[in-house]
This record gives sequence, structure tokens and C-alpha cells, in this order.
Amino acid sequence: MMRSLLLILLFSPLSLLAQEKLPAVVIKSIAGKEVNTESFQYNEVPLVISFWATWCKPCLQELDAFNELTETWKKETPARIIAISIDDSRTAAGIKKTAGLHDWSFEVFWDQNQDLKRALNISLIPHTLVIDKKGMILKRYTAYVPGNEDNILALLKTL
Amino acid sequence: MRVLLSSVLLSLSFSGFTQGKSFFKESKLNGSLETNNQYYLDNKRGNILAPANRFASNTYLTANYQYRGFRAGIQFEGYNPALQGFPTRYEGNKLVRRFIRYTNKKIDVHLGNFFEQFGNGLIFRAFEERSLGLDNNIDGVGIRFTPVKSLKIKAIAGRPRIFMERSPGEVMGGDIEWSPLNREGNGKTQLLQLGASYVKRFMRYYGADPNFPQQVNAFAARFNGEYNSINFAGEWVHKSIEANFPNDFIKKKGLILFLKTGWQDPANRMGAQVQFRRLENADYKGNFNSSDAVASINYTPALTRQHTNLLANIYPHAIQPIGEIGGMADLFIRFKKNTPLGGKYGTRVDLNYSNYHALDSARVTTGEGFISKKIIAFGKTKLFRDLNLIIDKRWTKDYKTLLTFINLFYNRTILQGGPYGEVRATLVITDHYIKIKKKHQLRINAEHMWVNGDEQNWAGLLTEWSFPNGLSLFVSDMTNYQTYKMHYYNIGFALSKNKQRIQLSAGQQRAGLLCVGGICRFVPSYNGFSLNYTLNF
Repeated sequence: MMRSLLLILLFSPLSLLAQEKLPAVVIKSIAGKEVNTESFQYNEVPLVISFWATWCKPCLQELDAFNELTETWKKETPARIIAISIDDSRTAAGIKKTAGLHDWSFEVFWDQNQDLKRALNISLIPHTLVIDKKGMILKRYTAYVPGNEDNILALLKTL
Repeated sequence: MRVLLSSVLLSLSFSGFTQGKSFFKESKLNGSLETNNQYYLDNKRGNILAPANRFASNTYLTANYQYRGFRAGIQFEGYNPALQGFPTRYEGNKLVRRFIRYTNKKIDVHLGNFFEQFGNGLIFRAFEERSLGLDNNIDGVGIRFTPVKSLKIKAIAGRPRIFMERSPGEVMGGDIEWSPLNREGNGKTQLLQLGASYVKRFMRYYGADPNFPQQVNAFAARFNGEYNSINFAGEWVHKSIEANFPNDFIKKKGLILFLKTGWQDPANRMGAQVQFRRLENADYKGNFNSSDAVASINYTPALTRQHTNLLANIYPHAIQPIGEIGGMADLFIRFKKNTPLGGKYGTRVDLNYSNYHALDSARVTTGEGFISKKIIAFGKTKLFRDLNLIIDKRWTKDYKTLLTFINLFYNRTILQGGPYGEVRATLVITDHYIKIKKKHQLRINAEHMWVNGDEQNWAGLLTEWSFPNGLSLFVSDMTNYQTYKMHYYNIGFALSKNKQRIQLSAGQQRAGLLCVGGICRFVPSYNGFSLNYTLNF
């Protein structure tokens, strides 16, 4: 108990001084090719990263909402939308199918053993991050609220 | 290990303080707090009595710290006591995870508690699934080495977590993956990956049997590839003789065979996929004396459709690692907008079928328990079968429906263990999403299940109203109106605001996956009140 408190105390002052950055973690493309999340920043545009799973209905609703607005968003922001599935091997075969069935026009990746999810301390999905050009996490949304895509677009337009 | 970790953490911190401003600028810290609390009430009509401790609470606190390539983290868990449905061996408060990690482009070294997976996880997977009480992280050393882009080598050694302790069994292993073909982009993919793994478990045996297998060796070979619109994958796992509590200590070798192939139209108008899997003595235990799933060091999930509705989760397939053969097939068709079947907004049709049998085997009196000579042969005993048809259709800008039809066979005698018989069920589920006004949404989910056997027919209804400020109100009920006439109701609200989420509900809950308030989670059975809170910081 004392040891854990000591560790928490050791970490806590740093939180006041540091912003949160997207951690560099190796995930996979739908086909299985490894991709480091560092590469998401290659062209320095804001990112919207949404964590989802094939069995999560609110996640699919959120990603469908993003998909419907893709063309509108393109005119107003250079931001990239990235969907990262946390499906494990039970449902992983459905990632490509779901992306195809919903005809998503954004990039879809696979966090195979949930390394990125863990690095970001995400416990529930959907979980959506808005990240600025330098990779700093500006906002986290811990659930899908219908219409939230308008708030995200408003934030992206300020970046 | 603890001393080493503490020393490194302290030295890292103090060296940082001496380096001044740049250290703080590059130091990143994040964490989360999740607390799930329940207060139980008796339901005398339903013969559900509250446990002696009416209040139960599961709490998880994590913190991760990063400075350039170094990372460190902790996870603290408290079960005071554990929620109903969780194993009772989750008890007390403890620092269950602490690690340090160094990563650069070629090497990734993990000291302390870590998670890892080899291939599809059939031979080894250390992972956490909090909602189910699963966490078999390894306490030891994990290394990932990438000498060239096309080659990845992993090595692990340590003891898996079982509940709040470490397993007496030691696990050691390695994995190599070679990607001779790795082209992806411009709508074309040409990918080939070949891999091999080895995982050893050693656990000392103190019984009277001189031939008890203390050491178990498992080997695996796999491939994964994609050539434009066709994908294929497979894995074969061989395990030396393993005797453990769930297999009644028979001395039998293990075998897992997994094959998958699929095709998808590049324009996403259509796709099909088939998966096949055969399991024989497939459960690889970190502790041979433990019966619980948390003690497994490999992962062989049910390859069936994962349902998110109220009633469809009453009869889920429970895999039979001792012997099972079967597979799953998927077909989807997307009718485009402005076509006769697509209508103004398009239509999605998703068809899924899975079928599992016991192995074609014969009992023997030797220590093996049974033999199964043919690799690909279905036994006479049917375990599980389900057919799912889902039609997803938007009718207007503000109204969308999901129509689901399910027909299933469930061998309750084998899957739940007992003289229950077989269940045949048919479900019809309608999901309605209605935009009432800007940013307000009403969701109505109505279900009916016709059941031949067991508790007979069920009906279910869920309504949920989502508000633009992140608030959602929900009420649901499912009832087996013919036999026990029990109502499993749930009423409550959820509020999400940026990094925080709170949910309060009351009711009588059946175990299953519940999707409300913008998230999905597994819930155990209880009668009473539930309060969940999550915070990211």
C-alpha cells in the first residue's frame, strides 16, 4: 500500500507540468502490416482518432456519422480521421468486413492486443481523441453523443 | 524485481529534476480511474438473495509516465469485495502492475508486468479484459527486437498473474515473424507474413505420479497474407502432454488448427469470409491446478457472432477446449444509394453462420482419455449453431432501423454442464434510431425470442434517450413470460463529459453484454443499484 502511494506521489507533480501526447505504439493495418502511431503525424495535420470494436453499436454510429460528414469536413479542415479497432482474435475477422459494409472512407487500423488502448488508459469504448498538429491530445470524448461530430468539427477549425 | 523497478523509477525522476525545464517539457503523464460499485437487494419473488456484503466495489487506478523512449506505469486494484459475477479470489487492495519499458526503433524492453501476444494468441496471449475479470499479465521480462524491417523477434519470461497473485508456474517463450512481402497502398495490398512460436510452461508437481508432465512445450507455425481483394491466414499449434484440472488430469497432447480466408470487393459492395478451427486439449494453463479461465496463457475465444442485444446473449457459445471442431462464415452485401434495393440512403445486409461439433473421437482407458484419429472430421455431438441475418437500413435523414433475425441451436447439456437438454431458439430484433430534434436521439430496441426448451419464450424492450449535453436516460426490461415470469429490468442514466463518465442504474440484471449510454460493457448478474465512474487524467 505504502509503496503504491509513494509511486503515485512520485508521478502526480509531473501531471501539472506535462501535456498528454499520443504515445508511439506499434499497431497494425487491417491486413496486418505494422504501423507506428508516430507516422500519423508525418504531414502535421490534426487527427481525430476513434477507438471502436465490431460489436460496439455506439462506436459504429459515431463512425458512420464521421463518414457521412467526410466530404464536408474536407472543405473545412485538413484533419485526418483514423478509426482504431480494439477487437481481439474473436471478432478481428470482422474488422475488414465492418469497414467495407459501412463503406468508411477513412483509415482503419487494428490495436491487436490493445497496447495503444492501454498506453492511453482507455477503459471503455467508444473513446475519441482530438489531436493537434504536434501530436498533443487536446480533447477526449468518452462516449458517443449524437451530434458530437459538430463539436469536433468546431474544435478542428480552430487548429 | 521490485527493488530494481523502484530504483530505476527514482533515478529516472531525480535525474530529470536535475536536468531542469526540458525534462518537464518532455515528460508525459496520463492515467485513469475506474470504479464500479453495486448495492444489492433481495428479490424474494425471484429467489435472488443479496450476498452478506450488500455493497461491492471494483476500483482500478492506473498511471503511465513517459520520458522520451522510457515509459513506466502502475496499476492499483481494489476489490472491497468484488462485484457479483467476479471470482471471489479477487479480494483486497493491491498494486498489481508496475513496469518500466524502454523503446527505440530496433528494441523494446519491458521489465515488470507486461502484456504480449504471439500470432493469433492461440499459443500465447497475456491480456486484460477488466469487465470479465481477466488479467494474465506476465511478471518478468519481455523483449521485442526488430533487426530489419521485415523481421520481428519477441521473447518473454516470467510468471502469469492469477487473481491477485502470481502463478507458481513459470512461462518462457519466443516468437519470430518474417514479412517477405509487405506492400500496401493505392488500394492494392500484397502482404505475406510467416511466423513461428515456442512457449514453455514449467510448474513443479508435488504429487505421487512420477510421470506427471511438469514441463509443457508448445510450438506454433502460422501464415497471414493478403493479395489485393483476397486474404488468407492459418495457424497450427502443437502442445506436448498437458494434464490440468479442467481436463481431469488426462495426459494428452494438444492440437489447434486455425484457417481463414476471405474475399472483399474493392468497392465494398460485397464480401465473404470463412473461418475454420479445431481444438483438442487446447487450454494451456499457467497453473495446472486452476480451473478458472484467468489461469490460461493462451486465448481460444468462441468464433461466433458477438451479440449486443438483450436476449441474444442468453445462449452464447461456450468453447470446449478439450475437443471442438467448427467454423464461421460471413457474407455481406451493400446495396448502394439510389438503387431499387438500396433506396435513397443505401441498405446493408449481413449474413453470418457458425456451427460447432464435438470431435469425432473414441474413449480409451489409457491416460489419454480419448483419441481422435481424423484431423478434419465432425463428431456426432452438435454443440452450437447459429444463423444471423442483419438488415441495416436508413429510411429518412432522421430514422434508421436494424432488423435482426437469429436462429440458433444450443446444446445446454454440454455447454453448461448438466442434464438440461437441447435448446432451439429463434429471435427477431428490431432496433430503431430516431432523431427527435437536433442532437436528441431516441433509440428503441424491441426483441422477441421463441425458445423450444429451457425457460421458453422471452420478450425484451430497451429505450434510450440521448441529449446533446452528454446525458442519456435508459430503461429496459426482459422477461421470460411463459415459465418463471421474471422481469430483468434496468433503469438509469449516464452522463459523459469530456474525460469523465458516470452511470447510475437500478434493476435486476442478467449477465451479458449491455450497450447503453454510448458504450458497451459486460455486466454480471445482480439485483440492486449500480454506480460506475471513469476518469481519464
